[in-house]
Amino acid sequence: MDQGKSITLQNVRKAWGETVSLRGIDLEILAGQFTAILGPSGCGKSTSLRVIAGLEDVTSGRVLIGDQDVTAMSPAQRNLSMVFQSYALFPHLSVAENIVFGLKVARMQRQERLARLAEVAELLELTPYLDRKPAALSGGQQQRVALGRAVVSRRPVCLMDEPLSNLDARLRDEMRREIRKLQQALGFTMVYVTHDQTEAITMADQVVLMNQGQIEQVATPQQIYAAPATPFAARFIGTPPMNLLPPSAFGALLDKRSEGVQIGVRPEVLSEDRHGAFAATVRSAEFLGADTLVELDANGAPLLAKLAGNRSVLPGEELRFSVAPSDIHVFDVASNGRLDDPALVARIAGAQA
Amino acid sequence: MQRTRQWIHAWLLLLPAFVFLLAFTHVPAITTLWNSFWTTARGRRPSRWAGLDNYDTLIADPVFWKVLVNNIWFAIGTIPTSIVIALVMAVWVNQKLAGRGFVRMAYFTPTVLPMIAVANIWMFFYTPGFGLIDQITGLFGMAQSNILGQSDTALVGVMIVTIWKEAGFFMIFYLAALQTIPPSLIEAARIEGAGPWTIFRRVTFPLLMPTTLFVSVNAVVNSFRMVDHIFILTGGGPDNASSLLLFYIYEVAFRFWDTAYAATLTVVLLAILAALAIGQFFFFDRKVHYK
Repeated sequence: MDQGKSITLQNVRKAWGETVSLRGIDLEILAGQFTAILGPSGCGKSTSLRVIAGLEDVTSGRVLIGDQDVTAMSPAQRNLSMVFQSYALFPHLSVAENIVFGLKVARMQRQERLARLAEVAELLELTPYLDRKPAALSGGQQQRVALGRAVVSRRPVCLMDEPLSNLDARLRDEMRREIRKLQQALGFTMVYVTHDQTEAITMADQVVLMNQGQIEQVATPQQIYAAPATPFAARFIGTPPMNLLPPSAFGALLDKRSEGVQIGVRPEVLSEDRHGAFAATVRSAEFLGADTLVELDANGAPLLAKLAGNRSVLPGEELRFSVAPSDIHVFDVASNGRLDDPALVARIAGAQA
Repeated sequence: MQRTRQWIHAWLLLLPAFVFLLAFTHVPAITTLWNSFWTTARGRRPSRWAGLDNYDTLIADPVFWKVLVNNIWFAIGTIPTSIVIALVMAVWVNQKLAGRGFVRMAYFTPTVLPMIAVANIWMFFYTPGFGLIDQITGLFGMAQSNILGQSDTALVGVMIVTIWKEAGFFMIFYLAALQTIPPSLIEAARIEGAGPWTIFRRVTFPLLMPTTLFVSVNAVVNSFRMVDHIFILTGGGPDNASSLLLFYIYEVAFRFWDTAYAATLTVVLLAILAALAIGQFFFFDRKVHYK
């Protein structure tokens, strides 16, 4: 088995005329790791993947796989495999022929080819369906065939473009685990494009968060959740999204000196505390079962709080919260980056700090 | 009661189309078959039952065999060539190239032109002495040619015109089919290491098989049906060298006024076409992937 290879993008730009899709991407994708490229639609994540695959040329910049500059190489020369959102199975070929398509193109010996096919079919539980055409398979089975075609040639890099978006929720959970297992068992480098933060967080070793053709943050899922680098990263990861509040929301706690910052607090870290420094007025509440989502008004700024259990609140009621200093994120509006300001954090955390 | 009403409604709805099909297709076909068993009425001699006499005449008729062989050569010469050219043109104009719209239109133009007009254009190419072909070959000092006037080349000249006319028409079908192939299939094949030729052979062409079947059935029917250009180009000559079955039927029926024998020839033509169409469906059916 080939071990995975690293992928490096150096200042990659991609533009179609006036439309700029990638605005100078620098990215290091680690060998043998599961990297998820996450972002809203139109952020350039699929373009990044297609640039790595060689299906799109770069406008400028370099693409390296391992130590090799592949910028000018065709997809075939880059020695990678890819799973498409639509699966892209050949409708006129049987499952077996679909899986070994690449091996046949590479003129692999028949015996070896059949051995590989049998192994992959066993691994993906496709053995009973090998003679069927893709149209006679369910969505989940088609997905497995696409996976089989990607892993059968044992290439060091595997790219996936939103492979689960055509499946129903239950199947998606199942395939998520299966893909992760497959990647760990075979040890190739996985680049996985998704707009679904759950997929990215649950599967990836490393998440690349993109927005408007730029990279917002590259970190482990835990790091992105615990210390988002930008306001965008803060809002994109976590459900419900993080509250981003102007200083005025904290009333007397903050003074004029803290203009030009945004303060981020996740709804789930706000805990009710009668002596808490931070006060807000209830506007409405939604009971979700395990917890209650409360919509509040903090000095004119909307605020969401997720309170444990069935805490019944009434509109107009004033709640006081305390927040651990480590759960307060400060962003500089001008530089769009994260600020380390312990003094400011301490004032918000208030009496508890 | 309810069922009867539904039946009546169904038949009423089918009736108009059915009447026209009967009047213009099925009744004439059966009349033709019936006429082929009678002699042609001439002057004071009314037509009388002839049994299979007309068919005996047909088997003994050297001109019939000549035009049948001509037609087979005509089909062999035009069908594969025009289909291959159509496919190549379609793949070519399906790519991203500058002036794609213009090229597509240019390839399709022969289809829009009436066959008579096409034949007249080609007359201008073929005319001995001052036709386009002779003008060009004349530049290199070559002798004059008379492609349509010689019995060994007349049919080839007619075939070239037919290919020129048909390829653009078939191209449109291939182009439409090519555009229904999802680009991700081609991309998947490229990632798997396939070159352009392998992609064409193993992905594109198999997916075009339904179109190929459709186009080839059409081409076969056309090769027995298109005669307009023969009137202009050669008139079937010289010595029936470029005459086709349908053209011969026309001559027998409306020049020689032997309608009974023409009916006999028509029955043979119908039988050939039916056999070919059915045969093609059975031959291709195993190889065609329908979605």
